[in-house]
Amino acid sequence: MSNTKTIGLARPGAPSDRTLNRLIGGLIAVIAIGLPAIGVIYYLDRHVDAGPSITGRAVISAEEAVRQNPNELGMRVALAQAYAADDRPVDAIAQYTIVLGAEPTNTTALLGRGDLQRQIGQLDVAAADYQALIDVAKDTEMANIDRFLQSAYYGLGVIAMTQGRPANAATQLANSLRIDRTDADALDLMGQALIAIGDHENAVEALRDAVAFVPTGWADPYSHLAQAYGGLADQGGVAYANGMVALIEGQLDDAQAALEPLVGGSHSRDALIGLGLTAEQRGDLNAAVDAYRRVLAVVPDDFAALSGLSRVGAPATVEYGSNP
Amino acid sequence: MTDMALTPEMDPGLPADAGTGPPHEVLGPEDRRRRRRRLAILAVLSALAVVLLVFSTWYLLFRKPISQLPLPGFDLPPMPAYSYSLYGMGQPTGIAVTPDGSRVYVTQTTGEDAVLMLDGQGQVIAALQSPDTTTDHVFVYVAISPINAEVYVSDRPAADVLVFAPDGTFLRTFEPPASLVGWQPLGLNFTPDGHLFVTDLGANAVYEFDKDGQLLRTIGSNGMFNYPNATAEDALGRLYVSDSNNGRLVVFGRTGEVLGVIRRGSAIGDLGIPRGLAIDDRGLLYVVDNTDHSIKVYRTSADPVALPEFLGSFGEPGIGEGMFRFPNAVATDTRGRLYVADWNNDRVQVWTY
Repeated sequence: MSNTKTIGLARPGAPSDRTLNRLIGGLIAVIAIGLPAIGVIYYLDRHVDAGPSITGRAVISAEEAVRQNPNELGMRVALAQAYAADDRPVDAIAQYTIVLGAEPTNTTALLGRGDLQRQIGQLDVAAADYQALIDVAKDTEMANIDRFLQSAYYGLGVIAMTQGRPANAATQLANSLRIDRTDADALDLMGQALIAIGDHENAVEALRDAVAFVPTGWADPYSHLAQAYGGLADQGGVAYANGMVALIEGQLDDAQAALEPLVGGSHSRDALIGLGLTAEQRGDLNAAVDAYRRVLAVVPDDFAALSGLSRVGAPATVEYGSNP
Repeated sequence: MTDMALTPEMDPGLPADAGTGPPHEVLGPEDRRRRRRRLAILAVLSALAVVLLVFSTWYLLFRKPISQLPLPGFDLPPMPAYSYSLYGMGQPTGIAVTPDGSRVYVTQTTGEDAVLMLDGQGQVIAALQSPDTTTDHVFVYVAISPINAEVYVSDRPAADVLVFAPDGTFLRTFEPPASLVGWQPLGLNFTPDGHLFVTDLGANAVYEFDKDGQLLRTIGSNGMFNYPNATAEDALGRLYVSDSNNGRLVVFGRTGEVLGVIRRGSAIGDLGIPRGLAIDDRGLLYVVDNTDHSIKVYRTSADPVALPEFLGSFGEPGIGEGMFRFPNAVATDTRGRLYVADWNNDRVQVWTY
């Protein structure tokens, strides 16, 4: 301590240390009480204990049903499906396995377990389930319209592509498409498989079918279509497919720039449909109508052009949807 | 360490008048530092207390979520987030909620012919039913009168609007003027001053009744609408009509002139099949797009002849939380919550900001 320390005076009227301490203590108390209090009020106001989700409720209900009837395989299948919907694949697989232990040819369980095994990366186990289903169902009376069989073929196609066997994938997917030729996922995968084995012409056909069923909102088939056209050295096709990718990604100027030069050429119809969709996205309904009508002038029953015109103009005359 | 207090007699350097007033506290450097520290703590705590006081006052007055705290420079998020769901109803088509969210009325189209009354926690506390048990009833839309909290329900096969007390007691059937031949009421909506808008599938028109039930005006009786489902009126008196089967939202000015439409299409902000409508206390317009399985959000304009501006949409098809299957109606309370009748998922979803 120095002997020459500076000594000052508190300003007249300034609060004393004791007053400051009291103020600080008071404020701490206000905050310590007020903050939790308003927090509790806020929580009670905003919080609702709504219970389990839809899938959770389905699981609870299915578990109860299995407890009541443990030997009823249909209820175990329902429980497995509820677990799968609730994103519990391991529990679902366990239930399917119990079902298959009692009934090895249960196609619902074979497909369900195969899909789940594929989902968690157990591809060989999944393939065995799919193949078992195919062996059971391929020669039955309903084989040509059997959606389970179609799904099993599709699953084998996905696995073959994942494991780098595109030729085998193409075979499996062809089997799948024989049952449902409108399956856009299968068509897109088929296109990829055919590109991988160098069959670009058939790849274009498959991918064009895929986008015919899902024309907007899904860019992958157009990207693959660009590859397939590239394999055929069809630069107009590549420009069209890339223009559609740009449209789907919301890059309307790029889409228009890619599509406009194609009008009048070999990809004129595709380009006009793309330009109509682009105009719709811009809200330019007159331009959209004009593009679609130019297509119909050449192909009067063009489905995409008719659909486009319906979207931008023609009123519906019957009640759609769910209104009672 | 203790505070050092000196009297003026002890220090010749003190001011001449130092001895005339009360004795002053004399501070050393350490005391001054400590005092500054106390003052700083006091300032911080005061600021915190003020923030807490302002927030508490705001919250207790308005009961809105923190995200709607009006802070300068911060824009409110236009899209709400999924919060929770209410279960216990079958294929709900209509929904109405009291301003504080303490009562939720839900029409259901499967199960018991009843309008379910739920409390704010989602517990069903009453079922509102028609006293007429001899005919079928399908309750589609529901609205709450802001004047007396009576509950109005459209009954599709009976072509009636039933009126219930807030506790669920049946009161009467709303009687339209005899001139409304072929009356088939569907959508119901009250304005803050108690006027009732009813969409009529018989004439494909919209009627406005005053709070005494007198018909004030008819909108769109010239074949303009095809299955008008719902109406909403904004603070500037513009009327929005979901012209469902024409796939569009028609916007009328205060005097009934058509200001424009938001139509069906694939462009951003375009509609599929619009059904329920609601406008919240911030002027945001919510349009249920039944076939897009989403709710589209628009900001109503301050310009009385302008169309609303599309802000975005929320929801996607599915059964998960925050997913819809053919949603049909939407309602808002004054506490930042949106209630969506999620028809094919048998639930009401609650979204909040």
